[in-house]
Amino acid sequence: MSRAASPAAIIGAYEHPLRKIPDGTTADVIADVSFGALADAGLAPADIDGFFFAGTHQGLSAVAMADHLGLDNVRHIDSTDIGGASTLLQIGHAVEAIKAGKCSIALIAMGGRPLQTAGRPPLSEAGARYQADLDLSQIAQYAMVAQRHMYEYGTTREQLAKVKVTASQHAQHNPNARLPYAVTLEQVLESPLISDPLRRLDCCVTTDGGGAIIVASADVVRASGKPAAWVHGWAEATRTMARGRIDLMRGGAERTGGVAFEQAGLKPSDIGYASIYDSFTITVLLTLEGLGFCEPGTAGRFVEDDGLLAPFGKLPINTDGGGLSNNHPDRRGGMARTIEAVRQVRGQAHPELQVQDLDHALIHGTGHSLGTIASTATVVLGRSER
Amino acid sequence: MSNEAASETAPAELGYHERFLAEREQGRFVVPWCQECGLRFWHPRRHCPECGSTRIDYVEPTWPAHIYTYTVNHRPKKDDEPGGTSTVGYVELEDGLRILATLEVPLDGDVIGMAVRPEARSTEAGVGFVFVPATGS
Repeated sequence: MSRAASPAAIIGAYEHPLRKIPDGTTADVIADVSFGALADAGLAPADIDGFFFAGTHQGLSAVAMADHLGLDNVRHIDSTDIGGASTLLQIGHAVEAIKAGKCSIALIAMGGRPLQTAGRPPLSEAGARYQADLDLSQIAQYAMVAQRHMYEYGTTREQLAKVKVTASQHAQHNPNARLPYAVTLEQVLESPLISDPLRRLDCCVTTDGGGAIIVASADVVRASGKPAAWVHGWAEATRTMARGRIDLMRGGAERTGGVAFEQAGLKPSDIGYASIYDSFTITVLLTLEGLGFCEPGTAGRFVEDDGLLAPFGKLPINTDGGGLSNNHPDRRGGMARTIEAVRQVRGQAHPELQVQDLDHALIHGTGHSLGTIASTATVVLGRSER
Repeated sequence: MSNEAASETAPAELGYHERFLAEREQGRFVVPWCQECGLRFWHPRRHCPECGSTRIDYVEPTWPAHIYTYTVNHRPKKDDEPGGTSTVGYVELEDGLRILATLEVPLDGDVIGMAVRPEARSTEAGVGFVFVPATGS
């Protein structure tokens, strides 16, 4: 049991069912998921007094989006953008705002349609101009992390591939998944080499879509009678390039996991399910180590023998198929990973993959790039208020 | 301010970025360091990330550096592109600075840990650097 009562819980969640959305606008997609989450919580736009939305990278301000959604009663607004981990950070900020009395019912929403638009705009400010002449894709950056992990710890290509195999075994139960089928270790290892050692199937999917959740105060949650995922711990951090002394074997999870666990009064072995940001297979290995689910350098062995497979693995993760097989909308996986964790805590995951008697779940997000500058955020959820 | 006054203004001292580029144009691969607290850091910036001083100068490191990690990018052949490979990685300097760089090194043996040094290359965009094996240099 947690040390203290949780001040707030997630009582509404909705993931866009589509993975390619050629029609309409991105704002329409975000409205689709926002109204989906409101319906799940039994609420209307007028009930929302806290709005959390980071869309300036796509030309959507939080103010314009609030107007588009008809959120006329917002009295707390937060557009903090830390890339793919933004949703996780926003959950923590929403709970803090609710604790402080700044709002009582918060909507967190995101969406995007990268398949309908040209590539991401290049970063040109701060340190980016000093690496502009390099052939340095997002995949290459993570590949350098994987290469070092293999060198330093003896991690194998097969162990990396196993993360994808497990994700695909989960995705075969998700008809909405971008890749709703299982793949073998051989298929991963024989997929095209992109940036050594990462192959195409070591990389997450790119999808249109989005998701939204409702975070509400304890009073609202109790009155609603809705199944809830209570927020017991949360933490956020940067993992910078350390003035030029970057340590690629530390991704930032080691800075947020311990804080979130301590706040929740829990330890890694108390977690029955985890949604782990899986932009690439190596992202999962480094995160498992950082969060303390295994010792540094041992995640490769941890994932062998179906360690991540639901419902009976040591630590079932990403039962929706994760970013590797299901969904990575707007090139940001935090929301999709959050929604599957909420399903698990509420007992609404696929019956074949639902973790039984699940008391506590964890969500971890990674933003920007583990190979250069990264953001990181962790949230611990529980089935009960305490 | 009158036009006369403006014309009497001394030319601004070269900024940190321009001085960095000028060093590279001379074929020197340099790193910034703080004249106030002595920190060597990467990337170049106006303020020292340790003490905030703007007294930033450049120094040429001692070579060789060693490859900390790397990846080989594989680009498939397309109609309008030839495809091929490129190698990029972090090189670690003697003092522990790790800098992203283009590598031109043999890939048939151990790459991580290999001793490398910078080699200047003139391009249309100015002088750039690739890191090549330091052996025999």
